[in-house]
Amino acid sequence: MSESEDENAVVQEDEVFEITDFTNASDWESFITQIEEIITNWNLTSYVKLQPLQNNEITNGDWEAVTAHLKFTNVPFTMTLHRLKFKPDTEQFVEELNEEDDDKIPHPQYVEDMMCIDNDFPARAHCIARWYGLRCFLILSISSSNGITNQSKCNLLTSSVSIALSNMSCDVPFFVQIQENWRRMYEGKAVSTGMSTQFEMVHLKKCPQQYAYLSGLLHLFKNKIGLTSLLSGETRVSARFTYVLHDWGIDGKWPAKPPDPEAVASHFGTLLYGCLEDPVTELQLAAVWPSMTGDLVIDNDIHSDFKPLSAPRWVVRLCYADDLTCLLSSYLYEFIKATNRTESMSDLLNVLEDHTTDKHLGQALEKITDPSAGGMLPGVKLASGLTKVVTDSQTLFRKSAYTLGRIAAVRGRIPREVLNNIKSYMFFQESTNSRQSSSQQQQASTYTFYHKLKAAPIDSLTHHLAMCAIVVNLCHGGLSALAQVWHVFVSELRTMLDKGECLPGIDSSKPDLNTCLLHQKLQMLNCCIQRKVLREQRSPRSSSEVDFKVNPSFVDISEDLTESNNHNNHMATDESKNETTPLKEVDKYDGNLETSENAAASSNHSERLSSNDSRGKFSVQSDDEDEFFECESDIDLGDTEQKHITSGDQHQEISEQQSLDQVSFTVNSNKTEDGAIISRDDVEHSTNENKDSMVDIDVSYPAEGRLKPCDDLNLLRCNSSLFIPHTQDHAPVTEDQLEEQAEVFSKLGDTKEGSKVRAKMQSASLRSDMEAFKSANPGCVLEDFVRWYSPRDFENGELSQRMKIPQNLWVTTWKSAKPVPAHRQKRIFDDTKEAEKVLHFLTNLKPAEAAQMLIPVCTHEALLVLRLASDAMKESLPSLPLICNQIEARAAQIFKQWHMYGSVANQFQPWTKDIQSKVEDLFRQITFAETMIERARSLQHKFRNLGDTAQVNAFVRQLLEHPEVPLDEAAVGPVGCIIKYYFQNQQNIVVEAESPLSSEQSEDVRLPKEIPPLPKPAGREFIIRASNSYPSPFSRKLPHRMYAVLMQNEFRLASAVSHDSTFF
Amino acid sequence: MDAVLTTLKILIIGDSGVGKSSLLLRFTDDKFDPEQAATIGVDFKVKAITIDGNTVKLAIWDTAGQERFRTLTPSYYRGAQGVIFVYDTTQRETFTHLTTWLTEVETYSTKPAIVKMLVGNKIDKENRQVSREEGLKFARKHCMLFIEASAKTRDGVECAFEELVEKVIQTPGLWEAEDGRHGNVNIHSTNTGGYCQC
Repeated sequence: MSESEDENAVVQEDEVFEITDFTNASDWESFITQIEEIITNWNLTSYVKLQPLQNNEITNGDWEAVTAHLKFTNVPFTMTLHRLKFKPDTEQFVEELNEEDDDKIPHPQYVEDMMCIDNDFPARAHCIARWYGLRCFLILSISSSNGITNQSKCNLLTSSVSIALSNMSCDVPFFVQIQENWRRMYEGKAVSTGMSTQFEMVHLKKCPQQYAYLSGLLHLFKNKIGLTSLLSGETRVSARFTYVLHDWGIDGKWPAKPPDPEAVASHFGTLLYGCLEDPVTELQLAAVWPSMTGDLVIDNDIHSDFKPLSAPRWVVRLCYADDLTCLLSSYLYEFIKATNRTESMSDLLNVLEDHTTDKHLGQALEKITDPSAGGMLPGVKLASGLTKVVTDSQTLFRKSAYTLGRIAAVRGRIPREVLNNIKSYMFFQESTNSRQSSSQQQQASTYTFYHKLKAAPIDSLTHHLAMCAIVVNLCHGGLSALAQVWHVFVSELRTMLDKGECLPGIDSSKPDLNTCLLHQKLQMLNCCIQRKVLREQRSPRSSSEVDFKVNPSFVDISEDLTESNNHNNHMATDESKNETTPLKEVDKYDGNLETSENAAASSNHSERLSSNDSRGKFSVQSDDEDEFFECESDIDLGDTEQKHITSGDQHQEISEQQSLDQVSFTVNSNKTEDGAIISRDDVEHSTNENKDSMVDIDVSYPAEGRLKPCDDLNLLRCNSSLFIPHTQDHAPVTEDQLEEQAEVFSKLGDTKEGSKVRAKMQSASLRSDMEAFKSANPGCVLEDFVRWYSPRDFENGELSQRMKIPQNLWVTTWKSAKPVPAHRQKRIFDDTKEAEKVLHFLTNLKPAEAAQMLIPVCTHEALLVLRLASDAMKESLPSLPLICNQIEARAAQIFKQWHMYGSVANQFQPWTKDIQSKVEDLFRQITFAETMIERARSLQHKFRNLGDTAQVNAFVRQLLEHPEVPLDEAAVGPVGCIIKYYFQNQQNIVVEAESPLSSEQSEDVRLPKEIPPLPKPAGREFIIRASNSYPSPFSRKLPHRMYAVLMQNEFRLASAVSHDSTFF
Repeated sequence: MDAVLTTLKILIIGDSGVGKSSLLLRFTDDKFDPEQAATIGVDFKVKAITIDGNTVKLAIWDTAGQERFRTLTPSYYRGAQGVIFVYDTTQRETFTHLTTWLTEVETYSTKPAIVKMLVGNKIDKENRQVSREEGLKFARKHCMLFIEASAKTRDGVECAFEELVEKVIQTPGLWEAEDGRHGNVNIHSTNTGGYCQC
């Protein structure tokens, strides 16, 4: 309590004090207050002493920077504290030394740091740290970009900070940035007990002649600190001369052999990687002379003791190209460019069409030349909604094929033979790929890398297409080339569908929802083609039968087939009257057993239609009602069944060959929606008035479509085995279709009614199974079905409670199910329609959209390439596999959440800006990794003569991981020799280039003169340290330091001169 | 009202007749219907619950357990963040089949970190065939949450769903990615604002 009271008192006092103070406070005073506040916040308010700097700690340690903002009047400033983080083990402060010599006041921390010779010329540090060797300093800079150019302003700031620091007993050196920012000019001061240090700087464009050598600089420095005696051992000099190698010569340049554009353009198997120019632009060799006695070194315009070849230390540093062009990255960037274009296929091709004058000739030519254009007449019946669109697309494709043929002269057209190569690469699966075997093994396991990325398997059709697309986009003219490949691809799909050829490189399974949407679509198409082939194989028929229009549902199977031709014709006309169909129709959903023959056919119709409306949404019903599921029923086919098949096939043929009759036929089959599943038996029943016994225990039909007996079960009501029937497979679905279905289900809500509708929508397969079961087991009852289908619902000799609920969907469906074997049922999966849907989807994609769909596949390939390369380089780049992991994880994350479809199936949804920027960011990371690899490869090449692979790798690793690498044994070490060799080569070239001018005059003079092994240094740096009494000879002896850098276009001196503030 | 943090997709699977739909009905409507018809295909219910101050909307997909539906229902596994495996404690067979269901989830689930919960249902019945220990052991082996419940007496039902949801929310990367929201969860609100140092 007392404490807090005290605090209150203090605060109050302060407030009172401050109120009075503030009334008179100038801007200047308040600025000082702000600085003091910041210093307090950063805990810099006491003199601390740390462990001496360790060797190279300024380079290797962790730096932190803390920033605060403040204002002088209204001008914003930034104050930044740069500090080397304490290492945990050196964190304890060194106890104040109790030296015997009491006179000697220990130097503050910053002075110790400045004079420490273990951190001269740090490889990586803030410029202040480099120039002054400091590990902790403050920088005050103006926030606007103009900088402080006015000297009096600068003085004002300097003195403000100076006051603040001495008020707060802070001995951290501070610097005020002056002049333009790019000049990196600072003026600074540090204040400590009994001394202060002035930091000053000279920055010139040209080096004044008198200071061009160490001798002049030494003279300047000595004058500045009042060291008058010529010879005194007090000055120490460190020097560093830098030499630049920018021409690696034939032996060193990378890539040793630049990739051949032709080869790249026709290489589709994998993506290539590698740079097109050398990623290592220059090598900087620094010869370093650590602390020497300044007065003993001679360095002037006549003679220099600084001979680089005999320097005690050699250090190399490398400069890398900023914007390296690498192949793998180029593929990806160019591809992503294509994805942003908005041209449609017709946009691209209409432009070209305008130039054509002779369409007919062109079309004729195209028919001859382009195999994909042939056989494109829609031989398949189309769902009415699709017909128009697809027809349009057909026309479009024909046009495009034509125009593609015509743009031979136009830039960007792919030559025909190349296009043919691409086509055969895509569609003929040659196992040229070395990764194939491994990728096949991969496919065996369930979840692999391409699943993670939602891409497609290696060497699948999708993968081949992606490879062709990305290569063609880079090498054959961008979007227009992409359009051509896309065209060829989709046309070929159409041809294969028409011919009934399965797609190469697409497995026969259902769409794998863990792959990209395009791959799923191709899998779906393949499923359709397989079913189509299967269907056609089962229906070998003579062409004469084709003409008859038969609806087998209405064929009385008992009739003599010898008369069937006439009869069928008759039936076909009869069926339009629709007389027999509904008579025995049981209302499916109400469970209404009304079977009265008197019931008005029309009322039955309306009920049926309404119930079908809801069901139709889900089940894959189409307008072509009359196609049948063909299962592989090869056993148990009675004679009658064979007849069924025959008539069914006839019908099949008709449905595919429909032409003008289609309209009336379709209308008709709409009316008789359920007609197809009413078999002969029902028709018979309806006339036999066998009402009471109902269908349940009807044994009057022969068994059809049996697969195998179900264990040893016997039917309950009659003495025969219970057979499992052949059943229809469930329809394969792609992700977007599934999403749409799920959407429909969700929209129905979670009410009881919603549940009911959902169940009805999904009961198609239940109904199909029940009908197949009935057909295979004449005389069966629901109990029998349940014993096979849901055994746990048959307990203690009776149905479970839930199965006995009146009007439950199982019971009602059972009651309305007719005995129809699977092969005569309406197809649950309409492959004809689904195939059209897929092609419609693909045809309507813009080239840019097609490219978007391929991005995951391309990225997958790029990441595989990257992974292989990084594994090969891991000795030199041990961190690269980790970077690869990160990129892969990121890619997986992006592609998993990227939905390429909208709320409606079969509608492509172009990517959002968000996804796009994420993908671009991913590609940037890939570029980064590729650049790293190329740097390493380039360096490995350059230093390949260093020794065995392990030695080369180890050295390259050092070069890549550290900003500078010291060389063992300097100039005479193994690396030193290689570097000397490169320099020598560069010198030879330079001298050769110069020689023609002067050779005539002074040939004999020049000849004995050796070419210098190294060029002139590009930069020379000196650090001069001395200890001297300043400002007067009676003052305390204090350390001083000056840093100088001399380059072609820059001259800078940075001095730190300490004053004894106690004595003079 | 709290804003809805996210919508989670939860899946209920298991053999036919183990009481999947009944558990769901008990959870969403707090009802038990002995006349619950056997599910055909998949069904669906929605419920919002609040856990640790976060309101979460659950879309719970109920599936048919019959063998024959097993080729149909897995399509709906995709995107689910949590899955509840149900067995009947009075029918050993439904317990031994769990491995099959696990394989199904591993094959068809699109989220590798999907949270799995095991529920032994019908503990109100007398003729128990699977002991609690067995259930526990199985759950431990396959890294699942475990609880025994009865849809009829409501024992454990609400707890099961809440545990599952809590676990889903706590699993990083399982649900944020969908809509890109991060760190809004109250559980993680002990976020200390240390400044970034670079």
